[in-house]
Amino acid sequence: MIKGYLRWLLALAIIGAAVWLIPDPGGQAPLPGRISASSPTSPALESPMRKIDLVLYVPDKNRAGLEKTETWIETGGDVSKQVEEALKKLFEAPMGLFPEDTVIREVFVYNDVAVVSLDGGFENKFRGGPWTELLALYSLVDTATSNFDGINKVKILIDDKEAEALVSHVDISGEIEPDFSFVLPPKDAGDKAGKEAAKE
Amino acid sequence: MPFVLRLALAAVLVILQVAPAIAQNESFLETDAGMIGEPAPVQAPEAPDPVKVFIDPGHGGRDLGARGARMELEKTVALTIAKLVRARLSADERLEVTISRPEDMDMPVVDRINMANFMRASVYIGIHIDGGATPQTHPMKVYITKAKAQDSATLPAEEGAVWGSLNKNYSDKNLDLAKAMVAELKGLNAERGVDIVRTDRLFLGGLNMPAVIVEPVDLSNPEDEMRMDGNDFFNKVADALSMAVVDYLMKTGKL
Repeated sequence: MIKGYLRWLLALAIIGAAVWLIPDPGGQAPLPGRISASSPTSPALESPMRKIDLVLYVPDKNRAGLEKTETWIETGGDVSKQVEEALKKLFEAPMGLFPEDTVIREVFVYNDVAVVSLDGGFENKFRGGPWTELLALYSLVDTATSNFDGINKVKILIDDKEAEALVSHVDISGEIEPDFSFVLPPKDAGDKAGKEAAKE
Repeated sequence: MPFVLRLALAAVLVILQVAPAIAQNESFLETDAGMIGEPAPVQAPEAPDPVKVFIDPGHGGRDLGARGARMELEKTVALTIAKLVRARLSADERLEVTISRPEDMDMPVVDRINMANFMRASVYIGIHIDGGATPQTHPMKVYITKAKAQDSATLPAEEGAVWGSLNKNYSDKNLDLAKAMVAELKGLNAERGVDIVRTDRLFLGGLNMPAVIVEPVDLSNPEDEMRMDGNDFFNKVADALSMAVVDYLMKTGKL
């Protein structure tokens, strides 16, 4: 009887040691920089909070084009949640073109597309014409695609539905690829890239 | 009835039929070669078909477009400029000018594109106005579609194409038209300048003709606001756009 009891104790000790020694995948240190959309994701509640460095695309003070601004977010969750947090940061940016209280209804990712559903309430507060609306579109699309590996396009929904225009000028049908021609070159870098040399 | 009486009645009837023609010196005997007894008429040279220009002021009706700090509306400013441009161009008998919406009314983008394509316009001028939250100025804009890839074939004229890439068949002409616009618009404000912007996101893709959207005013810019208080500014903008259209059509041999 005693020998049998010891055997059970020994077995339990071995199992306990094995559980303790096997590494926990969720406990690995996060990699800085771009986040992979294709890597396995886990539910937000189970993912640890981590800091993610971001580059936001916001208009310059003259609305002549977009400028890069570096910032960061601290968030858990899968890549959809991370994109949502990044866009919230974009909307809060001082020079941002979306109203600060723009509501993101949902973000979900399939293949290389981030689908962003915006609450239509922002349209009433948006005053811009074609140029300002184009800058708003590409500030969103360039921010979402340049910070997350595997996300190459953005589809925008208004109130969870497909819409003809972002507000009233810019066609948002289909999946939208980034367009970095709206990004201004660094101030000391000569002519504007991607545009015709038309300013005289 | 006696024969003589019937003969006299017939003669009277014939005279009544023929007399007006004789009075107007018209002949009722016509052959393929022309009128007998008259010299062949000299045909006046046919006037060439007028060149069709389509002007499209953005928005209208419930669609206000951009708004300025003093609540000026893009739909109103665009319509004013469009009407002034139409008045100038319509004075040229070589042109047939159509405006998409002559008043403040709802008009979907698809209807505007279909209208321009249906009338086979030679040139499309969309008029829009910028606005925004910040008063700082930026260059005026002239928008055209992106150039098609060098190795792509000529795109077919798709029936009913609206958001398609039909307009990419006119890449070079779009650029020529945009340059004509820049040449005239820069005179409005030399410091501010004019940019040509290529984008496929402004509903120009379905137009089967050279097409531009011009954005000559910024409602959120105090300088533009002040200038809009006087009619002179609207007239100068209309002058610039009208001259640009004529310059382009002359350079391309349409006029």
